[in-house]
Amino acid sequence: MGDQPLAALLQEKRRTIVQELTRLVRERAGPSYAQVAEEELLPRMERLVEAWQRSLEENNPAILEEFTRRVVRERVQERYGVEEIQEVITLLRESLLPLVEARYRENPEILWKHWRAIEDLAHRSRLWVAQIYREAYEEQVELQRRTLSELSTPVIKVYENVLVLPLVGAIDTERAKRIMEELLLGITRHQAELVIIDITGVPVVDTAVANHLIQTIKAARLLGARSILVGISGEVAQALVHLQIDLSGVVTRSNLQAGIEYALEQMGLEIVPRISAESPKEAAQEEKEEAIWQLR
Amino acid sequence: MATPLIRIPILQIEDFLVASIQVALHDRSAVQFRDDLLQRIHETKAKGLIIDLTAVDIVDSFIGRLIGDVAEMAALMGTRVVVSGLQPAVAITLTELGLELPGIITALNLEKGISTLRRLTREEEGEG
Repeated sequence: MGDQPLAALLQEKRRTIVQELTRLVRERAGPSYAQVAEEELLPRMERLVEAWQRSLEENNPAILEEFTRRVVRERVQERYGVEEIQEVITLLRESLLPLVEARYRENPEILWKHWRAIEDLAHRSRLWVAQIYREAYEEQVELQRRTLSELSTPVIKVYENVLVLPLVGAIDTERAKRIMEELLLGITRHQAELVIIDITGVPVVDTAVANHLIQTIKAARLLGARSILVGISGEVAQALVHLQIDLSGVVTRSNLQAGIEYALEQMGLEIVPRISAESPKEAAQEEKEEAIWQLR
Repeated sequence: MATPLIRIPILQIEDFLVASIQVALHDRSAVQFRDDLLQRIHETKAKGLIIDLTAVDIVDSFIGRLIGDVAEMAALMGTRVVVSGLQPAVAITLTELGLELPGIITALNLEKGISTLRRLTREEEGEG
């Protein structure tokens, strides 16, 4: 694909090409490009044309591929659409072809050769964009998934020896494994004796999820921590009974508050209102709420 | 060829026996350990026994079952068994193997193991 004359033409007409391309891209490439200021887009288009030129000069498409890789990764971060980036290449092709045609009109053979060089590079570029975009996008999704799964298994110490594990969202096998590991590490780290597992936020509890929970509870027991399962909704309770899942060995309580009260009771503690001289009842209620808040 | 036989020291503290396993046990050593334990329980008439596994990274199904057996045998001889200091990875392995040591009392560490035993024996004496 070595094409010195074409490279020279790009060099010669660079200014015109870049200006024309910038205008076209801002008008037609898509909303992301329409928002970019002309002064900013101009050097970007110049670098693109330059990459084409060098790639042609040195007969090395890898130069353009490397350039595309760098740019597309940036654009993915900036949330450009893949079709927008591909449109830029189409527009570049559109602005190059008339130039070539004008110059080599008398010599169809050479015109055809240059024409093919441009088509070839444009075609490859579009494929690279699609491929690199997908890779970068998947990497990003994977990164977010990992962040999310780290956020999704918090182990919180609410009192000496008491941990709360609030579970939110669907639990699959992989997440269940993670939950178990995090909880067991939390137990040894905090030397916790009681663990409150709150499944208020778990929408569906089927046989698999229930088994994961039971396994987690059994493993926690092996370490020497007792578990309290709280936040079983009416629907979940129905499902558990219908599926004939045996939770008889597990202490259950209606909600997190009841769970915490049970845990404190197990340690011989309780939350009591502080006695206040004036309007004792009201103050006591406030104090109680405050005490619960402090505990959380 | 034969792996050397390892003897786990079994210490007596008041009415309790404490055995801390610090090395990976081979099957033969584990059987020796079981026999030693039962012998000591018989000699001392201890009320409780703590098997501390803090330093153990790997427990296979044989050792897991053996610990369960020891607890059952000790119970027959009137001794409570507490397993303390299981590592998270070991706990996960045991549950995956289905060896959840159902009859055994567990504790987070040696100290909590001893206080659990004290409480249990006190309760029993209270009942009796």
